This record gives sequence, C-alpha cells and structure tokens, in this order.
Amino acid sequence: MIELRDLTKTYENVVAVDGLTVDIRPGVVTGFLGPNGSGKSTTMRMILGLDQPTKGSATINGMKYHDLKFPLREVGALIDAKALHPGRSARNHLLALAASNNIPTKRVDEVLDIVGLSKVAKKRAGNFSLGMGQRLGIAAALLGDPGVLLFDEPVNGLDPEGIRWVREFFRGLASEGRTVFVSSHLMSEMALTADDVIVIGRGKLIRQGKISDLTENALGTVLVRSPQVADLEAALRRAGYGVTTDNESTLTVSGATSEQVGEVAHASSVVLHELTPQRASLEDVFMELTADSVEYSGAQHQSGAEQ
Amino acid sequence: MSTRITLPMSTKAEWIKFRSLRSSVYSIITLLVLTIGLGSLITYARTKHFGHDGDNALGWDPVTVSLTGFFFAEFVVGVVGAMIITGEYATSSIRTSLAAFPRRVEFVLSKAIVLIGVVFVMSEAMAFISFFLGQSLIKSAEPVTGLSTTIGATGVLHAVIFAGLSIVLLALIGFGLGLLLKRTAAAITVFVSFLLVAPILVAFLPSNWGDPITKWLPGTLARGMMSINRDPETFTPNVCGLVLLVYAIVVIAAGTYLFSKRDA
Ligand SMILES: Nc1ncnc2c1ncn2[C@@H]1O[C@H](COP(=O)(O)OP(=O)(O)O)[C@@H](O)[C@H]1O
Ligand SMILES: [Mg+2]
Repeated sequence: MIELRDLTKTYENVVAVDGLTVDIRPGVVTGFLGPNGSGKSTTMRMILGLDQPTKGSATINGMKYHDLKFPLREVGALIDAKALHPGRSARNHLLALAASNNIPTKRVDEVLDIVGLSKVAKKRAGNFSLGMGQRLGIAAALLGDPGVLLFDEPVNGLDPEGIRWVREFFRGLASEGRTVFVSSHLMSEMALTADDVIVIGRGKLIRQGKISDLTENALGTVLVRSPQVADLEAALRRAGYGVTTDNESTLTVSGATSEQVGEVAHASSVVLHELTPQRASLEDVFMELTADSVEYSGAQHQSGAEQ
Repeated sequence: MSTRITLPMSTKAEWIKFRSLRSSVYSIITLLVLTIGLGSLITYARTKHFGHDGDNALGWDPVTVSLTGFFFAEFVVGVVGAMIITGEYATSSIRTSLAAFPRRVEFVLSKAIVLIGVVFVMSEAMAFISFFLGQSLIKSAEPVTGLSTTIGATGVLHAVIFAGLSIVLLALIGFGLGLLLKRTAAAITVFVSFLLVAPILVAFLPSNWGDPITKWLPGTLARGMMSINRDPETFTPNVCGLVLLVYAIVVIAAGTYLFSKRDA
C-alpha cells in the first residue's frame, strides 16, 4: 500500500505535483496516467525518498521511505533505465545493489534469469539497447522480492513482444498480492495492463478509480443516418444536444444516449436508417480529461524536463 | 543478523562498484605507473645535473627528489576522489543507489571508506617504490657521494609514509568537493584552483604577504608532509598533515550536509 497525502512539490516556479492525495492498493496494477510533464516522475521520486516534498507526505505500508529497514526488500523501483553506470556489467550492477541490502548473490542470478538477461549478464550495461536496459531495471526492482513495485514509463523502448511480456508480468506480480504502480503517458497501454487508474494533469489529481468506470462514465457520441437530416438536426438542437453533420445523410450527436436520440426522432416523426452508439475510446477519455492540463503541445520530449 | 541496512553493507556495495569499473581500476594503475616513472626520470636527471641548476648540498632533499612524481599524483587523485560521487550524478545512477540505500550520511561514509582504502594502498605502494627506486637511481648517477639516503635515516620512514597519506587526504578533499558541487568539471576546477593556480597567484605577491598564505595552501602542506628538511619558517610534517586533515574534514562535512538535504 502506498499512501500519498497532500503530496506537493514546487521547483523554483513550477508546481510539479500539487496536493495529491491517493491510496495505491495492493493486489492490482494501478496505472498512473498523465501527459508529459504532469508530475508522474516527480511523484515517484518523492515516494522513493529521492526528492523532498515541499508539502505533504508519501508513505509505504505506513512508513517513510527513509525509515524502511531494507528498502529493496520492501520497494522495488524502475525510475530510469539509464540510471546506471554504462561501464559496469549488468551482473555487477545488480551485485552492488544486492550487497547494499544484504541480498544473497544467488538472487542476482535468479532475477537475471527472470528478465531473460542471463546470457548478457557480463556485458557492459552501456551497450544494452533501451529494451534490455528496461529489463535490467526490472531485474533490479525484483532483487529484494518486494511487496511494492514502482515502474516509471516501463514500456518505453520495448518492442511489441517486450510490451506483452511486461504487461503479463505486471499482472502476475499484482495477482501475487503486490502493489504495482506503473506510470505511462499512453492510455492505450494502461487499458490493457491496469485495473485502477490515477489520472493527473499539471500535478493535480483529475480522476481516480477503476479503469472500467472511466469509459462508462464518459458519454460517447451517437451516429444517426436519416433521409431527413435537416429536420432531425433542428429537433436535436432544440433538445439541447450537440450535432455535427458528417455528410448529407449522417449526423454525429454528442451529449445524448441512443435512446434519447431515438425518442427525439420519434417525437418529430423523422425516419431513421441507422442509430449507432459510439463508445469513447479510453484514449478519447484521456484526451478529454487532460485537455486543459497539457503543458506542452507538439513534439515536446520529456527528457529536457528531467534535468 | 542485522535488522536493517548498515554501513558495512553499503561499503561492500561501494567496493563492488569501484572494482567493477574498468575506468577506476585503470586510472589507479596508470597513476601508479606514471607517478613512479616520471619520478624516476626526474630523479635521475636531477642527480646527473647536481650542482648545475641550483641543486646543491644545502637544498638537496633525497626523499622529496625521489617523490617528485607525487606532484602528478596529487592532481589525479583529486579527480578520482571527486568522480566517485560526481560520476553517479552524471549517469544519474545516484538515484538507483540512494533508492537502495537511503541513509545518506552512511552512504557518504561508505564511499569515503572505499576511497581511503584503495588510495591508501596505492599511494603507500607508490611512495615506497618511488623512494627505493629513487635512492638506487641517485646512488648510480651521483656525481658526488652521499646524495642518497636510507629508510633508516632520521625522519625518512616518517616522510615516506606521510607522502602516501598526503595523497589520501587530497583524494578526500576531491571527494568533498564532488559532494559539494555535484559536477565533475566544477569539482576539478575548484580542486586545481587551490592546488595549482593559487600558488602561482600567491607567487606574484610580495613575499612578506605571500609566504604566510603559501604555507596554508594544500600543495604546500602535501609537500611539507614528505619533507625531511627542518625549515623553522614552515610547518612540521605532522602539522602539515593535521591542517590538511582538517581541510578534508571540513569540505566533506559541508558536502555531506548539502548532499543529505538536496534532491537526488
Ligand atoms: N529537478 C527539477 N527541477 C525543475 N523542474 C523540474 C524538475 N523535475 C521536474 N520538473 C518539472 O516538473 C514538472 C513535472 O515533471 P515530471 O515529474 O518529470 O513529469 P512527467 O514524469 O509526468 O513527465 C515539469 O514541468 C518539469 O519541467
Ligand atoms: Mg516522467
């Protein structure tokens, strides 16, 4: 269980994280979603005791990170696949981490095996592809067999097969009763991995809940086809719904269910040839939720923000 | 069985980190070879030209002469000391390290312990090899007899051991600067400023102003630690060592304070 209470971080003039209060529960994968620059990495660093919150707190099983007896045995984290010395071999990197928490050497070889890096364990990590680097980071997170796992954008740089593997892997970890907290700026990724989601924008909590609720609560649109488009459009507008004309015979109605559109059509004696509810994709919901809070537009890369 | 992470655990981790980096192992070996090599060359040349270039029986200190290579080591070891921490910032592996071992003061101590251990073994080896090699070179090349000395002569063993210790203290000062400044370039700049640039600037001052300053400079203190001459105007080797130790402690204490407060 990870508990964030009014967690806030201000850098000179940016409020990176703004009063986040959430619980991240064990046994499920919790997706941490937000556009680039919304404060996901900063939140993760504060949970790990790397950055000091300006206000509020983050605790793990009720303890401050700094007070954990053996941090790696309680929390495993992948915050940046490149956060290792490129000149050191994968195995030595893990051996040093293991030594710092009194974890036996045998476990190092085990985790290398789990992530499929045994064959390249003696190679310099600097020569690893981004995908291999992510696997090494995941191996490091697993070293202490921890009950709480944090992964910051873990699928970056993975090939489709790697992404599938990671997804299954996270679900497996959660099903063993662990707390799995995974950030991403891609909703589609989380749709397949996460059970719960926490959506943030500009450091503020926007939505929190089960991922299935997110789409159900969002109103989709309704596609209607009719030979009397003009009459129908006028009737729908009078009823207060949003209408866009797609072509001379179809309309897209927003803010209404298909039942409501059907009733309006009936009341004004309009013939319908088609009435199709269009479910909003998760990506649409995400865009809608975070539209006001997207900090940058265009080809803004987040790397520049992490100096 | 310990109930929490401890200093020995992070010291072991730091030792694994140090020995598993080819760059740190190579830099130590290169330093050893160059210091001894350069020192021998200069010792031989100075002995051959004894009496020509101002070297005379009065100013001739066979210990210091055989340890001339230490000028070079003083500089390099400061960089080695700084880089064990600035290297982690540069690769951002500091985050991985501190997430595994969040007790920052103990983390700093474990790095210092490994640095002291490695540099002590290297610098004492360097000092004794340079000394013995140097004395045999002096003996073989000396134009007049009696220029070389022996390890048993008054103050000589002390001077050779302290030569090694001066290198350890400079490595610690470099480490402290690395902790304070985070960046390799910044730490090296400050280190070089005090070690190499300050003496040059002070040399421009009139000597009654400059001399009191010079004797407090780290380079002077390091050389003072390995001297067997007894100039009443300068600090004794023990005082030199003590002052340099105080510098190292102050810089590391300040660095540790900042390091434990700031975001990683
Ligand atoms: N060390 C820092 N110094 C100054 N600003 C920072 C720092 N780290 C992050 N920020 C800013 O905080 C905001 C959130 O960044 P970040 O947590 O990296 O977002 P995300 O991981 O969601 O992309 C951004 O505006 C970023 O520029
Ligand atoms: Mg990020």
